[in-house]
Amino acid sequence: MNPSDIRVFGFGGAGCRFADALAAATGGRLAVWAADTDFSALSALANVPKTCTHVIGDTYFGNGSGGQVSAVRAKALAETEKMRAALDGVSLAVAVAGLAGGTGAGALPVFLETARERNVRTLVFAVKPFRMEGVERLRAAATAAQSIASLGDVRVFPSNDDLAGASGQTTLVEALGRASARLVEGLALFWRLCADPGFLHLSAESLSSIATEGRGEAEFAVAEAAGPGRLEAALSELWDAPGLGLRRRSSGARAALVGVIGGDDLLLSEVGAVSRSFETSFPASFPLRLSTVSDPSADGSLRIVAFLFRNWQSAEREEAEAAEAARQAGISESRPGERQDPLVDARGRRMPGRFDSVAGTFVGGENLDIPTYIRRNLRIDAT
Amino acid sequence: MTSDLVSVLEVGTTRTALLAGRAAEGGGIEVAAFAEQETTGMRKGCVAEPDYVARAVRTVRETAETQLRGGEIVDAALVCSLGETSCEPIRGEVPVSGEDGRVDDEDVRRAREALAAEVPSVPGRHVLGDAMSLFFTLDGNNEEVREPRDMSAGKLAMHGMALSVNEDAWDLLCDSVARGGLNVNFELFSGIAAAVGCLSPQKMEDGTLCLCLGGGTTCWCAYRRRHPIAAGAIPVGGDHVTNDLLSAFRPGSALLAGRLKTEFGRADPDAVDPASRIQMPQDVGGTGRTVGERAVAQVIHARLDETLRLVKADLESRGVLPWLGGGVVVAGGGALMPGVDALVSRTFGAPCEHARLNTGIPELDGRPELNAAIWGGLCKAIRNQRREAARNAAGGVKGFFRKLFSQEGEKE
Repeated sequence: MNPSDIRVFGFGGAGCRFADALAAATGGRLAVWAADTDFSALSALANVPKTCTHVIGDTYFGNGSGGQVSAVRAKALAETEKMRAALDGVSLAVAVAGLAGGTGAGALPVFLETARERNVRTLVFAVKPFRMEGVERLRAAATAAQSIASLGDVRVFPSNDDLAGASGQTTLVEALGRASARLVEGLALFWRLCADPGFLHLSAESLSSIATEGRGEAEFAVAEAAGPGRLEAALSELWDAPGLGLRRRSSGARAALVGVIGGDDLLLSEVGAVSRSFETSFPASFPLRLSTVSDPSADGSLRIVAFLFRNWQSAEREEAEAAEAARQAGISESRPGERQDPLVDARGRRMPGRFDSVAGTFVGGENLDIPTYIRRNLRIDAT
Repeated sequence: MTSDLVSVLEVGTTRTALLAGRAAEGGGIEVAAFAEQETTGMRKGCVAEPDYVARAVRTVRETAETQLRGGEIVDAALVCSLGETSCEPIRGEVPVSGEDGRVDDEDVRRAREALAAEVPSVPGRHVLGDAMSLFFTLDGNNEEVREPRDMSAGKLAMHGMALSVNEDAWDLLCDSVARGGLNVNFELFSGIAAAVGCLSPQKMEDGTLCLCLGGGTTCWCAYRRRHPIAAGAIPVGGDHVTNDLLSAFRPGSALLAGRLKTEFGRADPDAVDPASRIQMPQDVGGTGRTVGERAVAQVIHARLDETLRLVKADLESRGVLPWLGGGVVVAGGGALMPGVDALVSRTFGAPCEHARLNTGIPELDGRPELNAAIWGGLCKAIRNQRREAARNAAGGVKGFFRKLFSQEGEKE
């Protein structure tokens, strides 16, 4: 997989603006696609090629969704061919949307289902509204979050309050701008981990593997500092910043992906200090994937982007090698990520399972009634 | 002189059992009847087919009554987890109003009331047995006090634990039990019952996790300083192992998958020779087939490992893991799986041992993993009966503490 196989998909007003800003932040190198019900908003996107935009639902005349999540979903379901076409050649889809409105909440689940059908890895950023937006929008966002709880590979649910790191003295304009900027900055840094050269380069294949191993919810943080004392300042922001600070969100984390971006003056000790800050915060067995990017234009500054995964299943490489000739008895070989009814054999006959008559057990977005070995992509020699 | 008969009913996903006994002279327990029956109407700890559950309850009741030689069992304490049980610490605090600033009976009574007032009332949730009072603290100190009377303090706080289950599931279970001819007069979380049944007083003091690997649910209770510090349940259990085997190896039915699990299952694939093969259980007339023993163990290990990590995650979130110096004690049918203790030990980083009972009843002591919860339930129910009798004899307010558990940690 090449970095060009990664694409950002923005849904709804907020998602499309994020996608547009990401395209600008990466100098157009990061492919983006934007879908909205508001034709005017789509037209205003300066950095997304018009061929990479899509108006959902002609009958709305492109005037927005009016917050009608169900209607947007119905329209999106009727237009999945557009999504499939946009997913051609994509191995990792980064989906971004705001959850409080209608378009993002309605279209995002449809997109994630479509991506799953096509075996495309997904990284989801579903942004929750500011608390000051009121109970109705918060409730709508919570409902939307629930609808994607079992979709997508890695799901991040930052709130605008956390992204803005706002205090009582922050103006509304500042908060809106900072929230948007922090998310765009973090996603751009994340993409650069595999697009730009570095000593500990994050290959696209590694990224895909991480999306599989870390399937579930994740936390996200970004930090940047420059000049003398940049290391301490960046680490302080990474761990203790209001809102996105990892320290108060690290409980229950099972693995981390950390990217360090610096210029030619990036010190070995600085990278080591970043790594140590995670090692001292988590148990010795805590999986830590570290990546670095060298950017001469970043001389003098230090940037860190981090993901904390709440679920983690290391790839069982020994079983994978031994299971090269293995297959599930009676089932055609399935690729990782493909969801099949585990009790249906090659002839289409379904064996009654123990939990057919009861509701599923969902923990962390996963249906635990689905066999663990399937959800962990373990190849079992059942012959 | 013995007390009245006390009965405990355990309705599990795999087994329904009823144990009846009396408080004996000298503080012991005299077991009067024990009956068990396979359960078929439960899934993941909840009632899926009420008729089948009612039938199982009726069967064990009638069998136990036969053992009592004509005695009748009308009421029973109910031991259950109902798939998912959540645990919330609660605290009620009152100013000390006793003379000279010393805690007196009235202060203790008010503290219990304050604790009861803190029991959460969440729509759709039923709190088991109301508040469970655990210990006291004085003036906001962290030091736990078991008997605060006559101690000087400005404020007295009573700490407790509220365990809640899904209300609909609870109502359905009680209805099924009623249709089986029993009235529920006492409610007890199976994780705590198992801990009371198999943890020694020293283990309760040191900090020990009792982990019950049941057929439909996995429940747990951690004890320290002789009272629970964490408890919970998730609707994942041995049935999930069976279902995983059914999916992976297609033995033909869930029944055969269950036999594959019980006859050949192991939780430690690394201990299995990769070349070892086992004969798949089959129905009469079925064609024999072999499968790799290690593959079976891999499927089982994956499920059990995931389940244990979920338990561990809960305990980690509560900050309980560092306090488990006494290790882990496993109970439930899942504890019988070879290799489980090693897996548990590795997951929690603590020594693991199997539950043991010393009731004097061979039917109970012979299978301690399966009977720890029901035995512990009987212990608690009789203890509760003794306390109520003592309060009534002392002229206390009759029934005032009826729905409140007394302080935990005292073992029969």
